[in-house]
Amino acid sequence: MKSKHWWGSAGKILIFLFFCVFAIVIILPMIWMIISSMKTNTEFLKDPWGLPSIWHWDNYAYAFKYGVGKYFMNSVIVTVVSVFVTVFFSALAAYVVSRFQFKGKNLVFLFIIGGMMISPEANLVSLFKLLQTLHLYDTHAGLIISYSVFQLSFTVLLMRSYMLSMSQEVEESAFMDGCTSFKVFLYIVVPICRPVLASGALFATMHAWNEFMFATVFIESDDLRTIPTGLVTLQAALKTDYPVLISGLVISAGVVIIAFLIFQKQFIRGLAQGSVKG
Amino acid sequence: MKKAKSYLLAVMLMASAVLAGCGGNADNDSSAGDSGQDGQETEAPAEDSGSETEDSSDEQITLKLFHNWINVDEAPYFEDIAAEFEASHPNVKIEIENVGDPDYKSKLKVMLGAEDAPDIFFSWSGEYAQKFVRAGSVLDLTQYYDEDSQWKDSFIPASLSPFESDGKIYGVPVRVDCKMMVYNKELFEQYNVEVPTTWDEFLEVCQTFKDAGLIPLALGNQEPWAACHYISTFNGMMVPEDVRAADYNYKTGEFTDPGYVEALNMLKTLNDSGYFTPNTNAMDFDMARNDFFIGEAAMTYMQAIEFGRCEENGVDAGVFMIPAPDDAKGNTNLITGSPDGFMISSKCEHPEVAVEFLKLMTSKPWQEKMITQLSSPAAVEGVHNEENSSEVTLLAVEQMDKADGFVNWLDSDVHSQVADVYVPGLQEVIAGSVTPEELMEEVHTTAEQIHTLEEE
Amino acid sequence: MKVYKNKKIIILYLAPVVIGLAVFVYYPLIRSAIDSLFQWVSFSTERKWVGFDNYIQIFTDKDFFTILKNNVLYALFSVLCQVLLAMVLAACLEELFMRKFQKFFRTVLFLPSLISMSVLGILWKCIFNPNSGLLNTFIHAIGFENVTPTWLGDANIAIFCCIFVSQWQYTGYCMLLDLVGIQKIPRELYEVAEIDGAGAVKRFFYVTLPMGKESMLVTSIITVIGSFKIFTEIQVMTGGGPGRATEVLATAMYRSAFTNDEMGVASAYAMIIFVITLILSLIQMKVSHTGEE
Repeated sequence: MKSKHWWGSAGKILIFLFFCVFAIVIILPMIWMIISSMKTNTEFLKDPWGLPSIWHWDNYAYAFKYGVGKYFMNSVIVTVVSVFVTVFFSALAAYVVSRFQFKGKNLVFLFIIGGMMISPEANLVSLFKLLQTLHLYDTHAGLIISYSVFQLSFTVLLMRSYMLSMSQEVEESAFMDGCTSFKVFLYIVVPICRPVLASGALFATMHAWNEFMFATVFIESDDLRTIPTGLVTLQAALKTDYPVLISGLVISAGVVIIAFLIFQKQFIRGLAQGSVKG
Repeated sequence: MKKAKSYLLAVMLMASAVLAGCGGNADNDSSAGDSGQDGQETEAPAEDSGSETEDSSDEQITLKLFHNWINVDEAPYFEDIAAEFEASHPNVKIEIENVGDPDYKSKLKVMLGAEDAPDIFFSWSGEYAQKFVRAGSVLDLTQYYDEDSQWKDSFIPASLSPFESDGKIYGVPVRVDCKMMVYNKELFEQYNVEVPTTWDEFLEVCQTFKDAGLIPLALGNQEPWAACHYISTFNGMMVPEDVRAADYNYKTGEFTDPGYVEALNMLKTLNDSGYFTPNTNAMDFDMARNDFFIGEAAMTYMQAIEFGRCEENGVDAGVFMIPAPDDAKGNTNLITGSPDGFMISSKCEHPEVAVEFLKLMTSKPWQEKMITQLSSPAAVEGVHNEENSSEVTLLAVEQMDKADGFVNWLDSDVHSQVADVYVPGLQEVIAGSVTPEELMEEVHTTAEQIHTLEEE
Repeated sequence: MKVYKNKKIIILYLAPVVIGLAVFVYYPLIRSAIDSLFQWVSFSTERKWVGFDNYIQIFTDKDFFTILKNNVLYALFSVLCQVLLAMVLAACLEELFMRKFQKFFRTVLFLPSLISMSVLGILWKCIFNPNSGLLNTFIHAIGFENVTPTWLGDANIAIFCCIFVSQWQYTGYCMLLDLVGIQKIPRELYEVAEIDGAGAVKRFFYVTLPMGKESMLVTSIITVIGSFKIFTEIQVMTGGGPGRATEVLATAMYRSAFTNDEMGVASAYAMIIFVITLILSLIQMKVSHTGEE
């Protein structure tokens, strides 16, 4: 259908312009961030719109030296382990609640998804006390556990609905062949559930990679900090060296954006599967 | 294609998991190295002041040290001391952890509640230290001072008292810090300005620079402790000393003296006349400070421990104390600042070793090294000289000698709940959304609430 | 099948999740509830029973209204941008004339949600800087030389700056999810509407909106829940200041616990956050029928 009214095309132009403005508002700060990361401090403070006279790539080397590299590795460790823990144990539990029959199953399921109603914020203080008692305060393990447990409920729910829609036949014939339940889980259930596992992993990754509050409170040694808190510390430690700090920001943001651009399709599919804000 | 991608993703995940494992190990190794376990020699003077080295027992002792120097040039100072101490005490291992300000203030409280609390930790003096004393978290060091009067006498006298409570001493001062107005000598010469000796002259000086298009006083107050340092000074000038002492004590705090309002008005005058960095409430502290280093601001209120940065940035700097108004009712011969030092946890299992470690830190060679490496004025007497200290630091030390005593930082000298109303309130006073009278009324109410809370 | 009744397997497979939740999620919550009735500090084991005093202290705090108002403002703007605006934008991108740009805009608008909020907080702090930030130098450059808002330094504006950054980050994300949702709506519905002579606006109101109604309701509630848990952007950009102008529930809790030595009050804040989010979650579960067999 063609638009018949003059306001139809005017509207289209307006909509298009709106999107362009929105896109500029997003791209501009990012480009500014990249350019600023290679300025000198004075250039950064006195001429925020200008280009650097010399492109200081060495700012990145400094950022790395001052700890961004260390923070980055910590983030990778914490994220990878917590995602693995979350996905693996959630899948086991989801498998049981979707397939097995036992007394009190509904109760157990309610217990599990009830966890979704407790926000990490409400637990901050007492969880921190608990970690202290368990000697998990200021350890990666403590952070990994905290990230995982608050992701479990959602992930189990996500996986359970997928598993319920899955045919049972293959599993049953495997059991007939004398496979153990763990083998069935590992070699039949897991491969079939790959899309939903990926989706669960995606949410867990985004959560663990970006989390700030727990990381601020539960980690205190500089050597253990993850990127989100590390950069905030760096801000204090560097005093006035803004371009170096901003190089750190670029490194942190850049990696995620590049990973997204490569795996865009899988990414969006995974998000749509969970369809909830992370 | 799709498959290939998800495969690649899986491989990447696995690879990073493996890397993560390696990273973890590498981490451990390096941290062991950092704390100087490999007995590396340090350039530091190796004079052994821990005279009584009779740890004949083979028992392995680990002491946890917690401090707040995170700067890459400064943090190694502590690793070096630890290395020297470990070399002379083979059965002792010092584990060092550090966190930067302002996190340190809250982290330390948290750490002290834990079972594996640090044995030796950095602390400000005043109320911040007193509340640990009240909670029984820190060790009474009086006996160690009494046993070694030579050590006790080596400190600047005023530096021990802020760590005292009921006649007992709970801390070992390692540096004294004070706040002074730092000015750019070149700019003062260029505009033909003399160092002011009265409050009115001070305002005139500010006006001169404002008229010249420069920032008179660089101040970034996005985090309000910056303005709080001005108020610490002004309260000292405007409020009679005994009244202020009573008010800063959480048991008797009233904050009804008119001097507090006058002090806030002085801050307001400086801001409303346009003498501070424009939009000071939205300016990052260091960003504003930078204007001083590049010669666009004439003065900045600076802590002695930061003086080294003037030289680093090539600023020829001088210092003076903000002159008090003529009608000031407080003691005008006080200097804003405090001794900072280390305390020992009451849970520490080897206090005698911990004390020995602190004796090493407060020995002359290490105090001298602190002057140069941490650019902090020393807490023991007679270590500053023209070689190891800059002109401004020597002036600061001289001022500290001349002063009747310290006005401690307001935010660490009043009860934390009072500070929580008072300090952020300074931003509102500067912004004009709250009047000085209203803020002091609020502080007064809070102080009263604390009486009832603590009495119950 | 018999295997499906094997108790050992059931217990073994469920144990990690159930124990994890019990120890690290449910137990701390109960602890918070108990701790909120005491006066205690983190560096001492002494504690004093104070009943509901901590709650009374919070409710009579003159800033409590500001704190709640900030959370509510957050919720309001988040629903406007992340639910309504995002839906409209998604519908626009599905229109024929925007199709060829869809991928570009979809990708660009989505990017901010990938970056950690603390990184964005630092970035926007630099942009909002009144003297050397991107924003004011831009305003001056286009001719308004006398206009110098202090943004994060202005008690009246600061909270809106923080809200803006959140919306800037998440509107594109929500739009993308809505886009996926719209693409699931059967094409025939649109075709029928078009034959009936419905324009783009009508199609949006008569097809897209009714079909997406339910999911929009669910996202609204999730967004509102999120708004009551806001922490990072405030902590990084303003720390609750100037004064207490941008304080929200979570930052107030953090301040009580870690700067004011009022762990009891902090626990009480935790319980307030819990109750608010619990009520909202229950409504959400009811709306979205989650957990039904």
